[in-house]
Amino acid sequence: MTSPSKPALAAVVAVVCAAIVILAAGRPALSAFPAFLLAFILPGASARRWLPLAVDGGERWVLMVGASLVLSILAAVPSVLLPTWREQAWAVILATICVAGGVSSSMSQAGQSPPQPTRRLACAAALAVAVVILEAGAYWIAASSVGDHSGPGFTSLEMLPSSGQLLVTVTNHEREPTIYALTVREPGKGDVRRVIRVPSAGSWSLTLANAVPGTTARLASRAGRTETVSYGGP
Amino acid sequence: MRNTAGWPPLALVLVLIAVGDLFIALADSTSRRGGSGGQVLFWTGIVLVALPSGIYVASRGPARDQRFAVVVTAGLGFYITKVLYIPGGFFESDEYVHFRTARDILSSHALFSFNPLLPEASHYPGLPAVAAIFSRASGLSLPTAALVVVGVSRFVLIGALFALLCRALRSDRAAAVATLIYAANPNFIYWSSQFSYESLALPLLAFILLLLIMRFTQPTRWSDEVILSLAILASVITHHLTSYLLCVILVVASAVAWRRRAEYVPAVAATVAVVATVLWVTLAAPVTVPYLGAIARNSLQHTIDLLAGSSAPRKLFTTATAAAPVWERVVGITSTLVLVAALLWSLPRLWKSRGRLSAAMVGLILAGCVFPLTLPFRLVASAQETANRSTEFLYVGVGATIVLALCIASSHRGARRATGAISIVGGLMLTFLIIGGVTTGTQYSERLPPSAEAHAFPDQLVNSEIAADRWASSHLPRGTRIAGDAVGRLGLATYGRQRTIWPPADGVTDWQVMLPPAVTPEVVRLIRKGQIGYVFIERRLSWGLPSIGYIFNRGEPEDGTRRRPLRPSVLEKFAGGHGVDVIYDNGYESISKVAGIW
Repeated sequence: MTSPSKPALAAVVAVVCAAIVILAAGRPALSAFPAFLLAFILPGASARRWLPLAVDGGERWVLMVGASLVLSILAAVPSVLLPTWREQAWAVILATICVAGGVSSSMSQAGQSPPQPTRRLACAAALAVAVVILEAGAYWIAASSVGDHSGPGFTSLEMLPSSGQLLVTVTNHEREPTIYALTVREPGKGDVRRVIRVPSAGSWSLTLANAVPGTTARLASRAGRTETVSYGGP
Repeated sequence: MRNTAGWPPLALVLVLIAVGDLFIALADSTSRRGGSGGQVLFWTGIVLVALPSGIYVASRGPARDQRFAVVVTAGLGFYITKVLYIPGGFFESDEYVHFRTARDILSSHALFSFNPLLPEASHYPGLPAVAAIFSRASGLSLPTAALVVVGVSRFVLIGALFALLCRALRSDRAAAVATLIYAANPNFIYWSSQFSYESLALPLLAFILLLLIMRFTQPTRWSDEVILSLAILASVITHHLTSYLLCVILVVASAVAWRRRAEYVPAVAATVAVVATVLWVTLAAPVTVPYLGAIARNSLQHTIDLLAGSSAPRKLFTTATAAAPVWERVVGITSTLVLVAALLWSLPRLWKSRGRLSAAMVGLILAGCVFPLTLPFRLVASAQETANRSTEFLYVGVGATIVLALCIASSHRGARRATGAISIVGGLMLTFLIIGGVTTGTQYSERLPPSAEAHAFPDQLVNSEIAADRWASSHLPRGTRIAGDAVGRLGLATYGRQRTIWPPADGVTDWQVMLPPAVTPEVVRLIRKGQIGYVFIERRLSWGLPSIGYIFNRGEPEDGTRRRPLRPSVLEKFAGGHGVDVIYDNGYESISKVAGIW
């Protein structure tokens, strides 16, 4: 475990200043990592002078993250009440805390810890990277199985009976345009097969003249995934 | 930081925890694909997280920082178990309640919007507000932002508990073991990991207690009081029961400190907590008083009924559709009995040392003593949830009490030999308790995600249902009331942004409209009375029986006693007819407009 040092504080101030510049430029959102730092690490880290004295690195991290969480909650509630720019207001409140706390802590020697040996830090970093890679692998395994069947990344097929007609809609939730084979079978008629290309996050529709119960649409992707729906029950 | 000699090395322990999560991911993936062997993979994963951690923290070699690293990584490793269950989504019904509040905050720029899933929840906006704002600021989806916020909260919970126990027990080894005993509480892996206000309130409580014990045990500054007060305010706007508990703890701590003429008396913190809680309940959240009162009344009434013999005790380890294997029941009951026996063994030893115990330790022991008293309430249907959820608080005391007694006993006997064997036995014991906690806290059938291919009752939201909800979000007017089943309402109110039925306000219950075999005059009357504009039909409701016992609402006919699935014709009664227009149908779900029969 390491504790924040002066270079870290300088980094804090730099990141926060960058965040303010981005916000001032009217960008709608910070990206995930800066927002994470701004919400859960930097307020406590930069204001560590005002936190109780910790006995070691672990306790120091708990105090930093805990204080950041508290400040994030308290800053969020008034921010949501603002009619516009509320997330920016939240970020600016936190950034102000970070700058004030960082400057204040930089001027004080209180709470500083001795520098950590470089080799130990490198080992700790390597270990952290290994654990994060394994955890990311676990998440990828779980998420990829969800992607086959439900949740983000699926392809949906909807029918909309309207005015006696049937609307078959293929929606592509994949990140890239996808080619599908769509087979429509209406009772008493043969299969009608079409190859369609659906843009990313877009949809494609087909209107059938009669909404006949038992009409079935089967969608197959080139990757071999299929979905079948039928109007009036499976 | 001193070097550690011995086995297992820290790096190996941390890597094994991550490998454990890989096994759990494989278990979830296997189950979702309908394969077999998911349970074996799941338990292998749990053991890989628990056993190396347990052995490591029970051994004498590691430094305090190293123990901290292991308990925090294990705590996060267990949290990831829930994340892997449904990556990027939610699965507990409470999660959808707060998901709805967060979406309302983002869309309305207002707090306290009406939440049709649980109106009381929107009056404690701490968690949904921070998740909503973080989602918008980061560009992450709301479920992913929620996952991050709860993950950070879990870090604070485990880290603060470890630091707190280090100070209370004056031993980092004892504190680490007590923290892992805490991780054996039945709610730790799933319930406390969900996107629900308690998942943030509990870490805030642990953080506040850490700040408090730091104020008692080291020189303090005025700024410490400020951060303590801010943390109290954050807790008050996050969760009702936790804020009440906090008031009690701070008032009692103030009284004890004053009586003992302690250097520090937390009178300011206690005043802030009481005043903020009273003001919040009075001005912002008066609805919680009748809400919590009803829960307390129901629990008391059912307990009296059980004692009087007029109602049967609740069946343990079963749902309406599945029962846990025998070995799980044995482990679950045995692990609970082991903890109770350990408490009974500990108390006489601690009584002999009562003069040397700190006020904080006395508080922890008292909390531990309450745990056995809650066990009988697990047999009462309406009180079991309260008893179950209390373990999230009481296990802090349980772990501290048992570990302190073990420390006292070992110091008397001079048990300093065979530390390797002791750490292995300790690790095995901790693993056993954690497995027991999982088996008692989460039903067997709900531990792994259901197969997407299964021809079964949909106990959770599925792909096509979410697609229907999203269609509703983009095509239906906001604010029109829509009736549906219990699971369907979760998706309609969140992904669909619809106004689902809230019986106390609308004067009609979903089952009254949905369960009759036909659109009878009474159904028409109820649709008019409730001003229901749409009904949501999930055809898979006729594919099996619900594990929660009811299909539409608690208390509906055959709640908990249903033996046959719903007849398809019951669901198809809204497929057409006078004033009824099917406006959406994807084969599994359909939405009918019924406003025409008003």
